[in-house]
Amino acid sequence: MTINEHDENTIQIIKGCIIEDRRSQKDLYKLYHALALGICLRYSNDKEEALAILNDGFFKVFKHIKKYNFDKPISAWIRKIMTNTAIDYYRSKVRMGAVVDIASYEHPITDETITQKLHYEDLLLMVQKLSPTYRTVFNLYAIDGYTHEEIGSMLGIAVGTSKSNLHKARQRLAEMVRNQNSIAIKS
Amino acid sequence: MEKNKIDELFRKGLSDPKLDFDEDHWQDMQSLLEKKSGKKKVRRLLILAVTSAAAIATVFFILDRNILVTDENESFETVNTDIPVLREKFNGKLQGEGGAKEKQTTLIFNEELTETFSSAQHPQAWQRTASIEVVNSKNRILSTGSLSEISIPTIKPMTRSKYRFHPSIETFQSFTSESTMALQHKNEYNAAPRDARSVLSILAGPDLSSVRGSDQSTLSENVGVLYSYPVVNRLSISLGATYAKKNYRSDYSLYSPANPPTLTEMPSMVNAECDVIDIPLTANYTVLKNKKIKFNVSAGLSSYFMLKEKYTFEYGGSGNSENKRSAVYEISGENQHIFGVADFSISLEKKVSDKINVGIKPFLKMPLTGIGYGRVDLESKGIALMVGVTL
Repeated sequence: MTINEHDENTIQIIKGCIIEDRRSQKDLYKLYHALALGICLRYSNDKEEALAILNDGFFKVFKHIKKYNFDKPISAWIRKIMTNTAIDYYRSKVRMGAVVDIASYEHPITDETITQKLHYEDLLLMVQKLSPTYRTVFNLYAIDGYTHEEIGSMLGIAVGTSKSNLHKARQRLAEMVRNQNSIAIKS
Repeated sequence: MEKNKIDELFRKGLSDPKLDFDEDHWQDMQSLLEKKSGKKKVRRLLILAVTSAAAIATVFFILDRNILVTDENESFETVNTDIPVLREKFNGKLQGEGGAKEKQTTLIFNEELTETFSSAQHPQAWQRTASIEVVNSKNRILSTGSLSEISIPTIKPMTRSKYRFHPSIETFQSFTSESTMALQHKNEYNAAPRDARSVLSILAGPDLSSVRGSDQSTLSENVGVLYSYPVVNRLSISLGATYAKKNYRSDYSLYSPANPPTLTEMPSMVNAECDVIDIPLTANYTVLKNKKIKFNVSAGLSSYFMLKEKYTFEYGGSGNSENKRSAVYEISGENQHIFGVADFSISLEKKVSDKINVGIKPFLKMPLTGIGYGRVDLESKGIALMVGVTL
């Protein structure tokens, strides 16, 4: 979706959100729903978890929108909030000992995905099959462009651990892509 | 496949998702906004109510102080009046110390001053209570108060004698003018704060903490200090600091953390042990007061500062099942709930000396917001023993 960040309409929507106008809030939600949900899906295990992160993230957007700097694109601001909300989810899972070993996530690729090409849904499914730790590091580094130092600071892990997790995530993803391709060629 | 190609593949493939807007997602968002907005409104109203009460109390306090200051700045004119004159003036209703046998109000006043006596207009009322006013030659009131608390500034040396005062309707009526009546109201209004003083109390006691919806209560401990400041007649405000060890056990379903984790297995029960600093701000009303006993009712708001929270999540059902496992989650200093708890209490105090009183204080704390990591509705019912020092 292409959004003109500085058009009058978007500015009016943001101003409406500042005064907690529900219609403006819905307009903003609708406008950035795809962008935000895409981020949440990448960082979560499944759609249900992604929706929880999405609405928690948007709640933060509405709560803090008074602090938004109109000189900067709002998509970047929303992207940052969604990423941080997803990281908070990850942190809370780690604290509760709920991060399960990667083996638990190595489900066989379903027939449905075999028949498809490597589209958005396939890639998303592969990322979601990674363990939360690998997935979070891969998303932050490879897709969202954070450095290992930043990732270490965000997740409370050493830079070396971040690098190691990224390496293993890439290995897993490469393996999944190879498997999918070989199955597709055979069929 | 090369590493950077993997990154590139996923970056391009996932960067621009074609996801349709789903109205259900917005409905969920709207519910969340309305839920939080409702809580915010309740909290705003409570804060407004407490702030208004504090502001009104402060205004009363300032007005009261101004009256005293004005009185004290007044130049005092000594009126030479002797006892026989007074006696005659009161038509034999004043008798020298020891001269009266009836048990009536004891009056202390300075012989060198002019006194007028007033009370409530109704005979039944003024027969029980009487007050004294000290006036100057222009009939200006310099000091007022009840008989036992009359203060006479700037007069030295002061010669005092005791008299017994037998007021009659005629006497009272003969001295009741518009000005004295007007003053009576001020007199009654101001009486309490002058003998009331601030009190510093130490409190300690147990409470039963429980999560609303759970039928399990767990014993917790509290210890703290409370400073009470008299504001107006019978009304005081208190500010305190209590260290509380809150223990509570409940089903995990009663937890609604801000960032709920996606769990592969849901915990069955949660044991919480939290170190909390509780800062109560309350308004206190003295319902009953005599020389030895005081009975207060209090209401206000408490702020919880969660110092340390330790949650033990139990998995695998209750009892001694072999599958039973647990995970511990600890956080420190992450949650503060400003005016997040409504605080109600009653207290019964007994004076054991001029400066010391002891008492008991049953209390109830009701959550106005979710408490701690789990955002649970944490209630506490307890009783505190207290020792107070009048400052």
